Amino acid sequence: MNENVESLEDQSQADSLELLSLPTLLKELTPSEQTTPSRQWRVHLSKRVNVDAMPPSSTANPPHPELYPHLSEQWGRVLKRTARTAPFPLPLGFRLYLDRFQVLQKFEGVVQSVTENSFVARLTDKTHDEHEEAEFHLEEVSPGDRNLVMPGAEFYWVIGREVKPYGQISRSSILRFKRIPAWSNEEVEQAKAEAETFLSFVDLDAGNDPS
Amino acid sequence: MLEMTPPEADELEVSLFGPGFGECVLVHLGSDEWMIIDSCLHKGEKHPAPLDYLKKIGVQPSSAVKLIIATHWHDDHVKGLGEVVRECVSARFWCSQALFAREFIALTDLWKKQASQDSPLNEFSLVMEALGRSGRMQKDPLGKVGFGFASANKCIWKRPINSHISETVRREIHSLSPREAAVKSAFETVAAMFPTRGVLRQPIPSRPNQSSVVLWVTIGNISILLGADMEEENNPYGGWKVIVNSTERPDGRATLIKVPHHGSSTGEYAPMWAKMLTPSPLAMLTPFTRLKIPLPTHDDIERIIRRTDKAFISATVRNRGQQRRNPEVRRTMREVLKWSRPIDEGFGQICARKKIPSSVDSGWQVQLFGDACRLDALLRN
Repeated sequence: MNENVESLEDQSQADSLELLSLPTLLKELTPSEQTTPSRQWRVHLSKRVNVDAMPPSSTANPPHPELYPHLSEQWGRVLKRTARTAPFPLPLGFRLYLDRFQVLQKFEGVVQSVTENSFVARLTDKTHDEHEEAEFHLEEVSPGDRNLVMPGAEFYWVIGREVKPYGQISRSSILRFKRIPAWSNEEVEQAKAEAETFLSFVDLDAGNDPS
Repeated sequence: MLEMTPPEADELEVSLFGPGFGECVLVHLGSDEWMIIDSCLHKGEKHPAPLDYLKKIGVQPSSAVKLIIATHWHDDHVKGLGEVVRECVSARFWCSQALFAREFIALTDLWKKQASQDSPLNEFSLVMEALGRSGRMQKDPLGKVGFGFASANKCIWKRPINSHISETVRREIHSLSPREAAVKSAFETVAAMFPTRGVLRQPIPSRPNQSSVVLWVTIGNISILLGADMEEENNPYGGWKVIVNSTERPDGRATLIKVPHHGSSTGEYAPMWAKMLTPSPLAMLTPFTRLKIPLPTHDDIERIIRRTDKAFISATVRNRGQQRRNPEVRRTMREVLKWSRPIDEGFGQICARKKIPSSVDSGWQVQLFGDACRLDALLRN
């Protein structure tokens, strides 16, 4: 490929860099980054969401994305909006990720096969709607996610530029597997009951009739 | 570009559609009666390939399609099947009874609530919904229901002598699998998939193909064998060995085969070619590109073209040049990945037609559309 074309393309992509989605960002935060922000922050936030509808800790810390995926989405949107308008600094962890992580490429992946130290996945390039296949080293997956690597598992892969507080720039590759909370016992029992009801209306013997 | 025209009333047609990921067979059984087996989508299209094709040639799916078969519930065979069932309201839906297991239906219900998940189970709930809304779950005034369970050596469709074709023409479809034991095993597999309290939801891994529905179609003196994804794993309860050795399967030898499981070595069983097919039959298959080494492999292709000089594939597996990307992205990809391969999934249709009844010597008329090509052409690329 022509290097001049690449650098032009690089410039145009740099101009349209976008922020990493908030739910993904929230997963990136370490516990120390999720420190309790100021009372000022809580007051500011409480004007924008129905605080009573959120878990007790969520006005201070983001709702855990694995436990409250929907709230986390909602919270993420509020945070993004608030980040633009808040007349005070955001907690360091959020500010760092909101302002300084620049996404260069996003993929969604589905695991096709797994070996002892690698896995093959089908990637969808979210920028160009193109597909490709690739083999990842298993060590690229964080230890907490490794038990999720199995055929059919879905994940995000984000490549970006991270700007540290003192200006250092480093390339970053973030691989996160979708981790969805367990179905509740009630949901499972309800699904079984609905299946029973459904089957009670179906004449299974008639299904075994020949032509 | 070849023109697409509808088959004559006395013409049998077998069309195989397939992108790099997906497969669907469409059969004209004569007298404007059709059967759809599985479903797939064109790349970038929203509607199932068989419905698109039928509409292009002026056939009304709502009245003309008489049977819909789900051979098994894998992602590459069910895309768009809900729409097929919804639109083809005159069709009886056939599948393995394992799909009506309480746990399987409960699973579809659970996954339906997780609307963002792209799961084949979501497609199954669309099928169930379409069957329910059209009243096909209940008996009609003649005591028939609009669904059925395919099993080994069962006649699932039969037409009496038809004046449009010939008084002597027999038209029958038999399912050659799954056997009862394979269905029972599938029930156990489904039950094991069911989540227990406190366990994280996991995507559902692919399951073995032993409970696939293999079909034998007889139209007059023409027989065809549609092999689904059936494999041979030396299992006494299912697989090609059991099918070939069955004394209850219909007699005859097929002149056309939909090669099982994308031509893979696990779908290969030499006695099937020797005992169920005429020498050098017309063979058609689809590729499966979502593997490090896509199917069919070079060895698979060589093996199949040794068996027949009339083998066709619905799409090739072509590699494109690398996607133009930011150099930083490319550097990171090189560091993180062992290898990567862009895939351009083509889409093609193999269309084979033959007059009913036909003299034994008359061959199939084959037309290729889109990216379909002769199988041996892949060896030359």
